[in-house]
Formats: sequence, C-alpha cells, structure tokens
Amino acid sequence: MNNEQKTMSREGAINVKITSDAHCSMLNEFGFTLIEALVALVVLTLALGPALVLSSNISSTASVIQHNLIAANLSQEGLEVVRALRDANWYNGLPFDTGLSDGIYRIEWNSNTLIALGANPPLKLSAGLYNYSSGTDTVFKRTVTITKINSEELRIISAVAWTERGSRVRDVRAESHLFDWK
Amino acid sequence: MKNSKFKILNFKIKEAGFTIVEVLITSLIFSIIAMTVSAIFIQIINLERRGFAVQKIQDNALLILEEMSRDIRVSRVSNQESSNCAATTITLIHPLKGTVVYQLSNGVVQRNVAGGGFVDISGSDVNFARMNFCILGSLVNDNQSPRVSIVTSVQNRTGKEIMQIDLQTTTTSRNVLDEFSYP
Repeated sequence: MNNEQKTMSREGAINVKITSDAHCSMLNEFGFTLIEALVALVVLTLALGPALVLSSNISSTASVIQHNLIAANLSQEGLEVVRALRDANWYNGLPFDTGLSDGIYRIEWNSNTLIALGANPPLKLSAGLYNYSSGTDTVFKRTVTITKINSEELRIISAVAWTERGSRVRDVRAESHLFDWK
Repeated sequence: MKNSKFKILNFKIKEAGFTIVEVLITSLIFSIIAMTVSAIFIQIINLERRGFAVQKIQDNALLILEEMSRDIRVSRVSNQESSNCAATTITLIHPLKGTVVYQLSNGVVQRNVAGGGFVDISGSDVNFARMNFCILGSLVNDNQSPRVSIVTSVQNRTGKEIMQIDLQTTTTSRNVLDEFSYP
C-alpha cells in the first residue's frame, strides 16, 4: 500500500489504472474460487446438520415415549391375565399351575387359556381395544414367558416388543411371581 | 479511500463494488438459506410442542390408570359383566373407602367415593375421548376372579396438532368375596 500510494501521489490517476489492472490480473481476485465456494458449502452443512439431527431426534423421542406408555400398560395386562388364570384354577379345584406350563405364549384380555405363540402376530386395535381377533394391526407384539422355579412358584415375564422408525427394536418387560399359597 | 476516489474520476476504470446481478444472486442464496433455516426451526418448535402434548397425556393417563388399578385390585367388582366393553362406568366396593364409582364426563374422568359426589381426577388440558370397561368374572360363584380391562383413548385439548394415545390395561381383583361369601 505504501508503494502504491506513493505512485499515485507522484504520477496521478493514469498510472493508478495501470497499477490497478496489473494488480488484478496478477492475483486474479475476481469472484470466488471453486475451493472457496466448496468451503463455504461445507461450513453451511456443518451448521445445518446438527439442527436437522436435533429435529429428527425430538420426533423419534415423542414417538418412543408414546409407545413406551402403551407397551407398559399392555405388559401389565399380560401379568394380570395370567394371575386370573391361576385364580380360576383354584376356584375350580385344580392345581395352581394347571395350563401354565413352562414356555412362551400369547395372551389377550379375555383369555381363559394361554394362546400358542405361533408366528406371534401383532396385537390388533379395534375401537380402542387391543386384541388378536379384529381391528387394524398395531406395532406391538406381546409374549408371556412362564418358568416354573419350584413346585410352588411360577415366574411370569410379560414382554411387549415393537419396532421404532429406523428399525430399532424396543421392548418393555414386566415380571411377576405367582405362588401356590392357598 | 483515495484509491476509489481516483477510480471514480476515471471512467475507463472498472468500478469497484457489486453489480446488480451479483446482489440479486447473493440475496437469492441468502433468502434460500434463511428460509431453510427458519423452516427447520419451525419444525423443531412443532415437534417440541408435540412432545409436550404427549407428556401431558402421559402424566394424566398414568395417574388415572394407576388410581383405577389400585382401587380395582382390592375391591369387590360385583355383577357388572361387560364382555363387549360397553360399560362406561364402574362401581367398586372398596374395603376401606366404601363404594367407589368412576365415570367420564365431557372428557374428564370423575370419581365418586362413598356417595360424596363426583370429583374431577384428570386435568382439564387433556381429553379422555374414550373410557370403557371390559369386565369379566364379576358374577357370584362364577369360579373366576373379577378381571377389569380399562380401555381409554387420551387426547390433548390444546395445540395445533391433536394427538391420541390408545391405552389399555387389565387388572385382576384380589377380592374373593363373590366366590366364597355369597353362595
């Protein structure tokens, strides 16, 4: 700058033009270079990326909370229905574990016996009622696992599994122990 | 500054600054970026509101289902068979509280304890669009424990997007009076 200013003050405007043109053609400073544009794009992407990740995370979190709540209640239902079967055995004068042998089963709200697991179809939803016979398929699949720990104790694990968006499998499990205390 | 002054004086010199085309392109790019960013921002805000609505529904639903399940667990559920889930009220004979009745009124769950009148127990910001009871085994000497399935659909009342969560849980009563004491 010092040199240029000296030139200008000494020789006037005409010289400045020459200096200026020479300056520009030598350093080629017009516009952005490809590299600059690319760097700008990378910076922009880095800035927008986290925002997009955040929004998709919030979206999936709301869905997970929702499904968790439904699954927790459905798994509780599995345990309670098995308990009702144990009670019915007593009322009918049968051993407490009649029809409750070790294995993995399905069960629904009005079951009087355990249902064979089969291909484990998802629960259906009909007018708010989760069942296996009518309605539209939901994402939830419920299994009830029965293990006889000893002659007086059954362990019941009721698990509800579902697949979140992005094929992430989640499940909620509840465990209960039924005793032959009568 | 001196430099530019000299340039303006001499018309042959290419002027510094932006051409109209450059300015137009720049503002176009800027507006595209600004629109993208604000669209993402609005989307995040909407999702946040949605999450908040789900949270409200969850708070209310958890409380109501827990309260009902606790009462059903210890109470006598007598002669209220509802195998098609048509029942919209349930009457429980609680060993300590007396007769407890649950019902739905304009999307709010109400409870009446020992004839003391119905009291709201769910919040006014969620709407229980459905509340049905499926009741099995409530008959005298039917050799079954009373089994109550609560079927409910809960929605948020406020907000642009109305979410609905369909919940169901079943509780088996531990009360055996109807099987032994009432022959």
